[in-house]
Amino acid sequence: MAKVKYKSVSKNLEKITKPSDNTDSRSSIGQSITITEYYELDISRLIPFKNQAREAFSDQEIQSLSQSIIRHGIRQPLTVIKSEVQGKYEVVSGERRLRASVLAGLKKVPCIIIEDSSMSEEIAVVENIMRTDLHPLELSKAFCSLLENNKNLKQKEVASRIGVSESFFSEILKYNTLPSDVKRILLEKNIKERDFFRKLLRTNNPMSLLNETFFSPSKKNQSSNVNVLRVFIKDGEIKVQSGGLINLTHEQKNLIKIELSNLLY
Amino acid sequence: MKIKGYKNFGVTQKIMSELAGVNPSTISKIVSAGDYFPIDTNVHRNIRYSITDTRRIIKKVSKDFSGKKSNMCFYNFKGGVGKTSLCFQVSSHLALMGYSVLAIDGDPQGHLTTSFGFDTDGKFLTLYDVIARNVPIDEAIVNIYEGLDCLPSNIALTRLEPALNELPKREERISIALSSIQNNYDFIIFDTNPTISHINRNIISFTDLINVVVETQAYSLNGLKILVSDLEKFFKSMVMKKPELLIIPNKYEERTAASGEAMGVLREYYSEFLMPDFAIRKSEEFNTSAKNAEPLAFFCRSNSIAFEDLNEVIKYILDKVSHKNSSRPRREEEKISGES
Repeated sequence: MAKVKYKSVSKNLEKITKPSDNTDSRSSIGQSITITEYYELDISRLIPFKNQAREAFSDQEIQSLSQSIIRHGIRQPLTVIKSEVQGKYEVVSGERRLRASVLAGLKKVPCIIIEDSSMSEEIAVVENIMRTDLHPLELSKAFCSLLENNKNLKQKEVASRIGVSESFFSEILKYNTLPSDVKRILLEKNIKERDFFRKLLRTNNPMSLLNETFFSPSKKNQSSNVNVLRVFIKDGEIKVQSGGLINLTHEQKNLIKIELSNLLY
Repeated sequence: MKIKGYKNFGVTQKIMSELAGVNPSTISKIVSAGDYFPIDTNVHRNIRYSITDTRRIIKKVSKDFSGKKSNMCFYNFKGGVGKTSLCFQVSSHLALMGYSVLAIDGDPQGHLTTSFGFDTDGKFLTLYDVIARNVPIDEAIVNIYEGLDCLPSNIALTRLEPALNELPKREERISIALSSIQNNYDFIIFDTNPTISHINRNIISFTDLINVVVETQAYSLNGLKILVSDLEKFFKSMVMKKPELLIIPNKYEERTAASGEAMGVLREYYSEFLMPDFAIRKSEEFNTSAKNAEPLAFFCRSNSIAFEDLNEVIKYILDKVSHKNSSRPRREEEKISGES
């Protein structure tokens, strides 16, 4: 036949014709009776994800989650992938739900099975950072291993794939360079202020800064200036705020008296 | 039941040479050497030879004739793309080329059946009777002309869908029903109706080549995206090897930008399933052919573009299935994908 002519594809046409990568778990049309969007998997078949980002599991939180599971059931299925271990599934996201379910005495939990295991780590990170309760250090570790597993990608590309800005990504990534004993304490004490992390990165001795800031007993008295008395003059009228005086001891009041009389005469 | 007879239909030497892929002079030599006689002795131009003769002549001249065997279907859940037209042409021409062909109408609308000249009000057995009522398949099959059999369809076929739901192995009922006649044919060709139904699931589970006919326009390409992804999932869940997929762009209009753009999309995303730089051009002859229940070769001119494109499709399909022993069943090792 006559040669076929090709034209470049417009944005609009591309939008409706470009095949999507088959990562969604919707079953083939008409098969929804036999193949469901999620499966009730036996708890004994579920094991933690080998690249689990979350390290700290608070017993108290799990306890309360388990209470809510007893009352309401699991509202959102866990995401799992087939494990290399025969017959087992790794929990990509939802390990807290799993632990809580065990505590709640459930035998089976709803799970979405992801076919493409190469996506699993990305999904695990994305699911967790969309909730804000992942510790910055856990996040940092997860970012590191993501970068490690995608050596062909630039930092910028990895960041955009999980939907965070490059600057955020690189900052979080730096936390991983902190000494391991510092990291351990930060995780244990659940210290996650971003300002403080920045200070830690700048200083030469992060351990001492950590100790000074959080664990030095005299810290509070040293640094705080307490206002005890304020005197204002407005239009020849004197105004006094003396609320701070109430908490003072007798000796302190005497000291102030002396100080004031020295100033005024 | 009354069906159109093809007694007085025949094929010219030129068309024969096209179908056989040889020089017209080769055909001419064979004809003059053998005992072949024109069907109408009164005409002097465009002399036609009977279906039987055509089959014998083409069989004689075409290279690597034997060893070709395939179960295929024309499939798409977008309607009006030309599945039936192409199914009709491909099956009738393969029969003219000397192959033994069974065309099965899997569409309750019965348009393939009509194309083969069946009287639409006629009473005949369909796939429904074969699968749901255990009627022996040979009783339902109707001979159209030499080399070409048809299992027709009418609106009664709609009853098959609920019936399939009741049966065990409901995705494999057609494979089971056809196993007894599988070896009687070189090609078993299904026409499908544009849905995702259990009938169609049966058909695609049975075939080793799925011909997806697409129109070169936006909706059709959007449908293709859904179709390809759905096929992927279906065969994965059935734990079956995916059949070969051939995407055939149809109703291509060289002058329109939309057609060119659509070809761009196809090349970009589906090049592995395409015939290189090929599309079937839009042609009135396909409509005429279906309306009169006459395959193109019986009436087209030697310069017909419809015939030229069709012939190219047939050659490509023959090439694709050549010497490939269709190894059924395609079930792979059982893998459990999860508990229910």
